[in-house]
Amino acid sequence: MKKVIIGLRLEFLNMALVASVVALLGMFLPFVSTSSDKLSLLRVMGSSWIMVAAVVLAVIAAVLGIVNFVRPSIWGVRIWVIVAALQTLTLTVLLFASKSILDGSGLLSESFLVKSFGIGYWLSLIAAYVALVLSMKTAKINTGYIVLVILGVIWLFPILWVILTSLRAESGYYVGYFIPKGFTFDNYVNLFTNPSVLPFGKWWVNTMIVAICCCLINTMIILATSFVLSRTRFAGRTTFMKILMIIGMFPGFMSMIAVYNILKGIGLNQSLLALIVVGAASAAMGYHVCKGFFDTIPKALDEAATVDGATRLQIFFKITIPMSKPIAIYTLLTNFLGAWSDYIFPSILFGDKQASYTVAVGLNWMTDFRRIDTYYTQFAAGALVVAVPIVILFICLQKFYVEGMSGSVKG
Amino acid sequence: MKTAKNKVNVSAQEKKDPISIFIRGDIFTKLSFIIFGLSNIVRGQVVKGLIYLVAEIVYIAYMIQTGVSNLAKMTTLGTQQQGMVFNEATGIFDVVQGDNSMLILLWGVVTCVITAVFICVWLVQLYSGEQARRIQLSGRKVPGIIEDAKSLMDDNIHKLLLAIPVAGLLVFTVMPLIYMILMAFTNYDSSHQPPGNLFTWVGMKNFVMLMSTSDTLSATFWPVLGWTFIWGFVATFSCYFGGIFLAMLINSKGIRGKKAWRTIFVITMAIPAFISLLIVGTMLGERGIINVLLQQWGFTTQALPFLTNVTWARVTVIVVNMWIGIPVTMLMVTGILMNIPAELYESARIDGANPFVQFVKITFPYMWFVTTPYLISNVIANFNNFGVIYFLTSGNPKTMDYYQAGKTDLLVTWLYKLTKDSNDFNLAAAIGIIIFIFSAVFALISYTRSGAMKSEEGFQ
Amino acid sequence: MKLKKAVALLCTTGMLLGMLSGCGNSDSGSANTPNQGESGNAGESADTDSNADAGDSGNAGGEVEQVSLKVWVPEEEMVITQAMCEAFNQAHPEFDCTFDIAVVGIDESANNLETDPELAADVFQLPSGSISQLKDAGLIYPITVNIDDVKSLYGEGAIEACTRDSYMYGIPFSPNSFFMFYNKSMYTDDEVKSLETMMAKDLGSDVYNFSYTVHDSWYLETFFYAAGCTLFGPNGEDPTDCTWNNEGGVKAVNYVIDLVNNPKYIEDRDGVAGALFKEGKLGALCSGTWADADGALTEALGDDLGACALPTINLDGNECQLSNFADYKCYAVKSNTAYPMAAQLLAEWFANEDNQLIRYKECKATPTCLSLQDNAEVAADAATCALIAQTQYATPQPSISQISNYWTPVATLGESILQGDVTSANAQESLDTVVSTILSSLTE
Repeated sequence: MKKVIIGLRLEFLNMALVASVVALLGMFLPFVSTSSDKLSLLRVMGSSWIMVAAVVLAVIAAVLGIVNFVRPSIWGVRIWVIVAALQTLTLTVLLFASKSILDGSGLLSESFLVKSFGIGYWLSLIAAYVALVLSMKTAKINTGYIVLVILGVIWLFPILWVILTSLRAESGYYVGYFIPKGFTFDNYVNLFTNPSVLPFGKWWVNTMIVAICCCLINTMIILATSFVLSRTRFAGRTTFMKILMIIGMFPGFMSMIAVYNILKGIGLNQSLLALIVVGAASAAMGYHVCKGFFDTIPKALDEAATVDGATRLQIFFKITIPMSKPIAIYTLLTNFLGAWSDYIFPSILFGDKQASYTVAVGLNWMTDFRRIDTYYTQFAAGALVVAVPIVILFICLQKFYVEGMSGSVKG
Repeated sequence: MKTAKNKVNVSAQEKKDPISIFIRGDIFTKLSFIIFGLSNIVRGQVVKGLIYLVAEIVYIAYMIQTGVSNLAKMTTLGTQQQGMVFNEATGIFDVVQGDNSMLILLWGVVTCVITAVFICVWLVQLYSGEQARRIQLSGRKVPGIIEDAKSLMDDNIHKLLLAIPVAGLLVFTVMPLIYMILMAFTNYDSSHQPPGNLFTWVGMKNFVMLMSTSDTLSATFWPVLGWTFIWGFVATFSCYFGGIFLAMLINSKGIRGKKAWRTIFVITMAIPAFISLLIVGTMLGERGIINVLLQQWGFTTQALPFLTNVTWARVTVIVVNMWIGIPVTMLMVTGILMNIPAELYESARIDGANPFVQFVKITFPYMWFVTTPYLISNVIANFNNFGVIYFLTSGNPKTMDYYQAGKTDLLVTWLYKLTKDSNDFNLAAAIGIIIFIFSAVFALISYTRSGAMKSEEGFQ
Repeated sequence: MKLKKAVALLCTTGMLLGMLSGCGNSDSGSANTPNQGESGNAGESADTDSNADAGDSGNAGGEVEQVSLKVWVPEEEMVITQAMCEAFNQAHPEFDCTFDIAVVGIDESANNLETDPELAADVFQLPSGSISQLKDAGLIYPITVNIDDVKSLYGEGAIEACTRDSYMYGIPFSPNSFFMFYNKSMYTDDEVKSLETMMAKDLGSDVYNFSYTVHDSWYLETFFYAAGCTLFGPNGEDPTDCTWNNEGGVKAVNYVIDLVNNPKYIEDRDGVAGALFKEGKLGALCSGTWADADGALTEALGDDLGACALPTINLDGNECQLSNFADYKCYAVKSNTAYPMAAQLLAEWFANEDNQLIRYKECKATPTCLSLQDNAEVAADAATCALIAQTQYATPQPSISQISNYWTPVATLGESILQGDVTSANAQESLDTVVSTILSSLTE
């Protein structure tokens, strides 16, 4: 008697039910087992609402499992999935919160460590995850969500720390707690209201100017170089590409002091223009991705245009560029990002000319050991202000980034 | 530049080396060996000829003004040491300016590069004059400056479009590189600091010292090189597979809000890497927030030595590098995944292949094939991955076995410390060259082995 | 083929670019050449004539020299420096000075000077420990104008720290070293004199007694100096001598090992000690005036904030005073300044008595002028007194260039002690390694 319900995969239902029940059974087994105490979840649940929630959710999940077993329905299974997810979440939170709960409850004769979790807890935790996975499979929901949520938390954790630090009212480099004792926006305000010592607003504008100029100029250069290398054949073309590859392998900053002196010879040292010029001068080395994309545009288009009497330059501007919007935006974006966050060369270039600093140099200036204790929270605020334009750009242009990359790597 | 490919068919008339041009040319061609552009001018290409001529005059003027002395000084890198002479009248020292070896070396390199460019101009104007002569001989009209300019838009577009990149690379990449390479053959170290002191040429001594003779140096060099290699591969492949995994996860059917998920991971790319590394570094400290939380959560009673124990520190830098690198690979891989024909998966599914088999048989081979060049350049980039190591650990934990380096230092961060902390520019430059040699050899071997250097034409 | 016109064109562009850069060089080159050729006769005598007038007789008032000087100061001294510069202009009618004041911290100035000596400030702050390196590179000026008058202002230690080969290369204006802050509600004035007494006192279960920076080679030497070891001979001038691996050195290392393994000790890393101290969970920490530069310690502890010299340690029954490197913040003059006379006078001006008092009042910078150390206002500040007291116990930092081999191995030693890699079992062995690294030279 095999029941079939559209939208559900009932073959997982039985196993999910078993897992759910096992998770429930874990409540009766020792939740904590230290050398002196053995307590089940039911015994300690009084110490925190999270523990109560864990028990309640386990019961509801098991009941829902049975209901669905008897009479499966799409909505029934979906609700079950939600409860199972909540139950899993609660148990996971308990992994981190148990110490503070149990140490505070006075139920244990010694201080709690994760290794003192009893068989009951581990069984419940694993069974809860298994039940969640199986119930999601039953409901035809992609179980990848679980992994994504966990990874997302790991990825965002440092960011969350930066956000909290930037809102912290107490100054100081090191604090021994996660949630600030006082919240304030002063760190952000101070960044922009103290122009004589910390002209962060100016730095931000400087960086914006450099990044915009750099990304426009570099993109033009990269597009032109890639076009020539991809669409034309001339003597020395492969040699040129090989030379580019070779000079790309030298560690660049060894020669930075030489670049500085050359710039000084031209009279460009300590200026923002120098950053743009140096960026543009080495832009051509990043031609690979773009050339790979151009290689995929059929040559027949060019030939047709040539027959119509178009010059190569016209082909470049009228045919190739319009067709390469994704790669152009990809190039713009990466070059903007590069210029925006470049640190090592600007740090050599500007020396004492604080007014020309870019945000990267300025932020690093704040981390000098004599300053860091005073400026650390502002440093965190600055880091976030720096990140804002890039996050916005990424959200808007992500599609092109991905498309650009996909065409490129083939080359 | 131009090698005659079909030697058999080439008559003496068409040979294009300066000697044959000289032999068969007329008096103007011969004179144009000395007076640039003359051959062009007499054949009607006045503007072009004048440009060549001006280039020559400028060069000669430059050489007379400073160029020759720059080159001459380069042989010794300066002889006059800066000194101080006490001036009884004022009661202070007068500084007697000496030679600055570093600037002499730099401007010597500049002069050499300018001379190399000059030789190119000389060759170019020879060919150009010869061409004009032959066109005139054959009775056709010699193209004027307008026609030449027009050809830049069409047949010679590469000259137009590559002009700026080539000039930029020459001035800001090639010249400094030559300077750096030459520095490896001098004794520019902490006791020969300009402008107070002179340094001079010492030949291969730095390399010999680095590789064998000096105990402290070679005891540092080889282990650091070893770790650099391990780091290069592990860092690359951990991010690569991590990125593939993440991209496939987000791209798999039934995941909603793909864009939002991607954005979550991409946020790590939005904060400049050195900032997030500095912050993560403080989080991982002995009393950093991670250790505080781990103790509050009851995972451990003692602080974990994330950055202070050798093995822990090496694992930590790799893991933190994954945190930064996986989103980048994820974005790249996302694009490629979309290119894999869906039919392949369909038929595989009909054949009963499970997702893992599909990955091993379809996704991965395709990905591997497509991304090999990316991987190779990424390994090389990781050999030179200055940021992660320097800002996260500064090369620490320190060890007494090494000279100016710590256990997580890569060659490239060691090189930086040598210039910054102990002013051993000569050693740093020598290490720079060695890094280059290793990278180049690695690139060469892997490119030829992988067969990834496929014909570009194949894709069109 | 329309031959490489474009290439030629581009070559010309490249050449012109190169030319420009070449010309830039030739400018500076030609500026240098006459001096070097004529040993500064023609070029400098013009300068020096007017300087001589000015130097000899401040009241001559005849010629006024146009002088433009660049000054680097940390951001917190920006305002007072402007005032000091104006006062300098008033006090020296023989100069008509224009000042360009830029923010560069005392730790960054050496680096910036090395990167570009031409654009660097004429007068800047420098830790006296950096003098050797910059002097060897020929980047700083020996200060000789009215030097005997200037020397009489400062203590011997301060002058010695800035002197190389019997010339002063900087004018010391503040001690740059560390001392001990302590919590008066936890320790009495007597208890802080001995580290043993401090460590023995029970301050409560979650309170640390003492914090130090063992992993930093600028701090670790105190124990070795206390044990009577020497670095580079008794005068710090012998590059082949270091006695850290003798019996006393082993005692010192064992002392440090016991100290860091004491649960009441906490290593000061990432500002941990400051944070705990403010929370009242630490009895004493060793740091400099910068720890309280923003007044955070004073604010958190109020009247309980005490400061004093470093304590003594007990080695085999002898009370030995911890002794750190004597380092001073000083004003230095770059060697290629166009106005050496004015620049030297300005450096001396910045470090004179009045300006030290201003700097003390505005920025809490401890003065070095002997006359100011008895000043009632100065004597009222605990941290300042502690710093002055500590300078008496300090040992001159060796001034030879071999000192650059000192920092890394000793920091490594400190780190290894903290990690438990160096124990009393291998103390001798480790010290032998450290000493051989300190004394080693690359070219052997």
